[in-house]
Amino acid sequence: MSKIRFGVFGLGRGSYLVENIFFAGAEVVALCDYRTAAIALCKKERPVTKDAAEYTDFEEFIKHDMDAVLLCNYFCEHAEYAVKCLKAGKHVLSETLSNVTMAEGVALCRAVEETGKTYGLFENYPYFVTNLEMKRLYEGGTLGSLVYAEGEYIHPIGGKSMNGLAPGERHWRNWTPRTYYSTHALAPLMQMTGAMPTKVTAMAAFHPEITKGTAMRMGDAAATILCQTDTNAVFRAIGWGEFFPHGSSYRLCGTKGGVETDRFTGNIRLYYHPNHVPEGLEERNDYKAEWPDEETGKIAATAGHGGGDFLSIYDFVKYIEKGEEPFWNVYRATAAASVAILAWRSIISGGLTYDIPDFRKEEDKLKYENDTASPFPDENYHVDIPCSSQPHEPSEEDLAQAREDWKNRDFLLR
Amino acid sequence: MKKIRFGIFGLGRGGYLVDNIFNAGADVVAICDKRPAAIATCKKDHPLCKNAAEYTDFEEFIKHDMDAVLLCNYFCDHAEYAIKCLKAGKHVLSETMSNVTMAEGVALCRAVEETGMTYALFENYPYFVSNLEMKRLYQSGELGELVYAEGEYVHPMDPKSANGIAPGKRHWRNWIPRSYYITHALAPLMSMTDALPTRVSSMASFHPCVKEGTACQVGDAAAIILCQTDIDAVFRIMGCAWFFPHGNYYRLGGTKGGVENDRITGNVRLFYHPQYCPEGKENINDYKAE
Repeated sequence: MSKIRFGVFGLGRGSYLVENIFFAGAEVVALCDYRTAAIALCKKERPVTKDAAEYTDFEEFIKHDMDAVLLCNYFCEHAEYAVKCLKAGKHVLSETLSNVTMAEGVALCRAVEETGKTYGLFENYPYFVTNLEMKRLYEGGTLGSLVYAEGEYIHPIGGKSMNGLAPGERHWRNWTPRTYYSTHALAPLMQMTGAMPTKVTAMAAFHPEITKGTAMRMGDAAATILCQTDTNAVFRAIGWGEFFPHGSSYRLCGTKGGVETDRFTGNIRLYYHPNHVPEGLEERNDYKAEWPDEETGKIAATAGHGGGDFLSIYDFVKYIEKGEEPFWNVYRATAAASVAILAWRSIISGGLTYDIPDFRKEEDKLKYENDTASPFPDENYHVDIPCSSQPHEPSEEDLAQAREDWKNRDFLLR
Repeated sequence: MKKIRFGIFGLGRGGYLVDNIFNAGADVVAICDKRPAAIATCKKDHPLCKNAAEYTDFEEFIKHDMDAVLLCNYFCDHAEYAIKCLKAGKHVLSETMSNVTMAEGVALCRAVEETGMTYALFENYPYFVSNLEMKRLYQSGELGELVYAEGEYVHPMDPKSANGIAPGKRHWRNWIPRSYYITHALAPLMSMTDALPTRVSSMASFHPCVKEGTACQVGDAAAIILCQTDIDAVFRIMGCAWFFPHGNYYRLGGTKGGVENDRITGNVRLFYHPQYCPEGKENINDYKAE
């Protein structure tokens, strides 16, 4: 079988992933970034791409003879480019979030249905070794029925580091409502359990002091999201919380047992009802998780984001080779995005609960096909909805500091 | 100063608290329960109250010359009896919940305002040694501003145990919605931070398998609750959840540090931002609270 040929769009993030494409048994045949320096740097640092064609124009890039595109462009622009790729006959593996408006989600699903190409969400956090172990435990049935689950991505940044990641007043990171960056928290739970969210409500914690010295327009430090699911479990997700301690953690609570990641040690902590302890285990167990597959585990162990940078790509490549739909197909991807978008709507509406649409159904698509409300600014800084639960703008001193930090950093390359 | 003289109403629970009243430097002068056997058992098991007057009728009990009443009657009946006690000129220390309808809450507040007597909620979970330590840490300012907090009371019960504490089809435990038994989860957070809830939202997890073999009318295994607070933190709490592992757990996530209690060891686990780590402490600390 010939190797799947990838193009990579967006090298700020994409260059970190090119080697994983090769490890997954595919190849990179084209690179695209509007910054020529970024292309040069990628080829210098990742010699596996030395023969890849170079493009600074997406419309030219998309004509390249390749099978799939890895989309690593701006967070708030994935859907538009995904649709273009699909219509150009390419499979798409897209960084999160799949879509930042409900209308984009509908358009993305329609594009997949019309073209028959494969869409996969590149969500790496479900592939942490601990999350794969929790999935194994859940699917083993020893935890019983799932009552409650938690996922969280806590990453306090602030100040100089934030300015380094968000170089520019209109950069998407300065405008991302706290619920929008929620797939790192939610996706592992969906993948461990196979559950789909059906309803969402959320609350935000407004703490503008964390934005000091930055151009951030969102004054919230965290948003806490509750989802009802089709398995009757309730999920609690925190998308990009800025408090302490830093880290990601997950928890499944069932009627026979529970499991979680230890925030200190990174171990698995597994608990059983005294009546339901499986043979060979104790009521309380604390251990280091192991990769389910030794061969891929060796590569994953050195790959970024807990191994997810490799395993996400590996899974996608295998699904395409087998002609199967990936777990993170367009419907799961847009369901996760709907949680993010509608959770925010819940916050700015004072706490309403929203049903999560199922875009496999035409009536749900029709309901949202014109819903284009976006918190991301256009060239004139116009937004449809606020990105902060309460009014917030950076002060002149904050902006001055941010601009100073941007001057001192070659943000074109990193 | 004279000792505060308590009467106790409801000895199924109240019997366990007699000694604590004496340990607190007060007296138990009257005990009341509709079951004479409960009165006898209380006096036998807790000889400190051997001289307390005995009542099986609340209306007679409330006339006893005493300063305060410890209400340990049915969970769903506290407010009505609290109001009677206040209007009879007695201070009230009432088991949770203070009231089970909104109207009862209003009536209770009005009774306190009109009588000038002291009312207090008897919520014991804020006083765990780890929770007192978390309170100390938060109020020292070392954790910064509070962004997020968690509290939970998880208590799965087998059918025999559940039936043992809910004897009767109409017993309140067989009818209590999952969010009602909430103060063990919420009160510690309120006590640690002095925050007041300002808005609430919640979802329930329906798993009727947890009530098999019982007379329980509640098919939910848990209710997960979010509260906005007047300090801009969000609390995530649960009222009496049925899943594993069994236990109570609390967590504070701040802008400079975070703290929680360890579900396995019960230790306090304290984390600091490297920039804000107080002298003498590490970024990560794990210890037994004192």
